[in-house]
Amino acid sequence: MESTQGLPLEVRLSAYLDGQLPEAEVEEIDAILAIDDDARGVYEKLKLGSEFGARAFDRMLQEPIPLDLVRNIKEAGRNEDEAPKLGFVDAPVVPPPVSRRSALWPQALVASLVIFLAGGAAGYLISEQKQATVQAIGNQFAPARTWLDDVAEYHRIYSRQARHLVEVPASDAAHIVEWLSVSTGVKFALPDLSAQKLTFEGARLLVAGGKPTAQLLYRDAENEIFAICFMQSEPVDDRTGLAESMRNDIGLISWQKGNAAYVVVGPSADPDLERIAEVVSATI
Amino acid sequence: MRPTAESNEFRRELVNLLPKLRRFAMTLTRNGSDADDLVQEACERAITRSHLWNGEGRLESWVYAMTRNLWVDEIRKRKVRTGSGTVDVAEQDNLHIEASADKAVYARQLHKLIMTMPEGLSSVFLLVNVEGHSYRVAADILGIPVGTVMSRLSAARIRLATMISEQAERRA
Repeated sequence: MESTQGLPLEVRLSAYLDGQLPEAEVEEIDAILAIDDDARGVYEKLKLGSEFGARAFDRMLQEPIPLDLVRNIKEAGRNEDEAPKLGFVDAPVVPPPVSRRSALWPQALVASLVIFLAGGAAGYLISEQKQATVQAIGNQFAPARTWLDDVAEYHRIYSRQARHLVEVPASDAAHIVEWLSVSTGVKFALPDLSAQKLTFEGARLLVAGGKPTAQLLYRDAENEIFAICFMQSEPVDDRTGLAESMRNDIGLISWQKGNAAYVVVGPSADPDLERIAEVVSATI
Repeated sequence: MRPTAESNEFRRELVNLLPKLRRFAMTLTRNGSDADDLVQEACERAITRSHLWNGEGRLESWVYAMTRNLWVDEIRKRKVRTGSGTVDVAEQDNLHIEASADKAVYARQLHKLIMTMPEGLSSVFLLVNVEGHSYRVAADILGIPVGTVMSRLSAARIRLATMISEQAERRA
């Protein structure tokens, strides 16, 4: 606990908000808030800023991680002859590009404005209006859930099913191809990943992003489970690049080709995940 | 050189930490390219010094402090190379808040709006308000006194609340 005696009121109220005040000071702030409208106003403002900022920062965690960054961490220092890949180069400093006007931001403001006006007309308290504004803007920018989120959750569950890993076993390979091709509308060939020391275990049919999704499951020598998932999508002319993202400890490398979207799923820290995805994207 | 199982585990933890580390780096650099370079350098340094990590406390606090120190070094190098560059906030007596509300209006997304806050404010806000570090730990990571953490956190909250209120009032 940190003493805030002698510090400006907003700093003391901020520490009060965090519960990082000594007991004696908590009682003092309680007494101030009970009788001082200005202090309550500052306190509400601190809470508003706290909630608004927390939502915005949470959203940043959903941004994709550059593939190079993950690869370099996995490979750093593994080859003694390899010069370290330093992050910064001795180049002149270039100012960051200027941000462009957003098409979404005005929508968020309109949404918040509507809530403000509605709140005002109804005679709500100012603090309640602010809360509603935070909620509206937070919802507007809440990270959109994609099929990759569904795939990651399925993987987290099924990869732990030691005895019931698959719906149809690898011994029915021909049936798997026919069944999943028809179910998903995506023609495919079962990738042979034996060179990557992965054994095909079988398959499941999932629903991801509201669409039927095939899940081909493989196991490595250390009993780690890898999956290839695909579903029908808007057609693309050329195969898109591999994009890596993560959901906690699960790594996903996705791409699109033809009328399908694909993703290879495995432990996020596995250095071979990208190489497996490259093989799959070339052979499936 | 083959990595040991311990080394692999350390890398795994680092990779899992990447989203949060990159977010922290963004509060220091306030642009994505520099943030990615900084994260990469910090991770390489963490791997080469992983034998120094004692496993106590939160790994992220150790890596965050390393990241912040690297950024301070980088800013100093830039000042030498170009005669300019961002002045590290820890070395400033008074924060210069250059970002205007107008700039924020044009930010493409909420987090870019937050990135218009000075480094000293957004880093403190992230560590304490978002990630739940104590004032003391945040102070250690950022190399500033606890009192400065408290005053910057308060300023960050007021600034964020002002941003959102101004946007709404401007549209009213």
